[in-house]
Amino acid sequence: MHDDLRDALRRVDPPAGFAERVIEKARAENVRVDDVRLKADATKGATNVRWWAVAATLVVALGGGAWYRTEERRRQDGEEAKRQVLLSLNIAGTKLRSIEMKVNSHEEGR
Amino acid sequence: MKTMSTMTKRMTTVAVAVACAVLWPAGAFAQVFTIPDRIEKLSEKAKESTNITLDGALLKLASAFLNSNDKDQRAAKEIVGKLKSIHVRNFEFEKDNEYSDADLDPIRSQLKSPAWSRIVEQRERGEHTQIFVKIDKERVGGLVILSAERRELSIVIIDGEIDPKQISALGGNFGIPKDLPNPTATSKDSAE
Repeated sequence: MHDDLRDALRRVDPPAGFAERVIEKARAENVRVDDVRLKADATKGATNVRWWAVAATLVVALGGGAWYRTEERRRQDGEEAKRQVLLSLNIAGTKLRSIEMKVNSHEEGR
Repeated sequence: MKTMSTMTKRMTTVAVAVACAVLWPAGAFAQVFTIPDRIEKLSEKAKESTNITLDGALLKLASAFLNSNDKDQRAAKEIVGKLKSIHVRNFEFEKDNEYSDADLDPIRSQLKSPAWSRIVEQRERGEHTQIFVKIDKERVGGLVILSAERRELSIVIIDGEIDPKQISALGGNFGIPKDLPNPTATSKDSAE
């Protein structure tokens, strides 16, 4: 048994080209790791761009909505002011016409 | 620190003085009409009421929305462009004596300044009608119509330059007669 153990643990030289193959394999593994890192970075960048796009869309939508509401309110106020101006001039005109008729009929009656 | 504080106080005083000097003329010549509360409350009794108050900012906004391609609106736009304010109160009642002619006295008292002239005064069958104009540098700078009928009360106060030609031009457009009575002649004939 002692001999069997000694044979098993005996120092054995590696086959020819072993070191070169190990180095080659290690290089190949490193390249794959770099690829994975690059892919992860690209995915992260794309996600960031997507979030920025979403944020920009939200800002534009909110800003546009606020602008639209302000413009709509201004338009409604303007239309109401216009209606009131026309109504005021209408009442003033009607009253002037009525007064003119009264004055004329009064003078004719003299 | 004390010097700074004194300087700040002086600068504030100067700024206030300059602001007063700049703003005083505008405030001195602009007349603010007050409609008595008693008149404003008539809307509670009225069958129909109109309450319009348009100041400079609203008049500008209205002017911007008046269509220059429309004949009537173009005429209104030309008039509105020179106005400072418009006040209209119109009440229609279901029965007589819902208000008193004396309710209008606070408005009449605001028209006692020399700038205002009464050009029409007519009392007939319980109705009292008055037209006042403000003469400003030989131009009509304001118009007030007070029409107290049995079941209708109308108050129209237009502050600002109104060219009589423009009023004539409005004839037919907004119900304003083209042949208004001659203000001077009417004043002599009708004023009390």
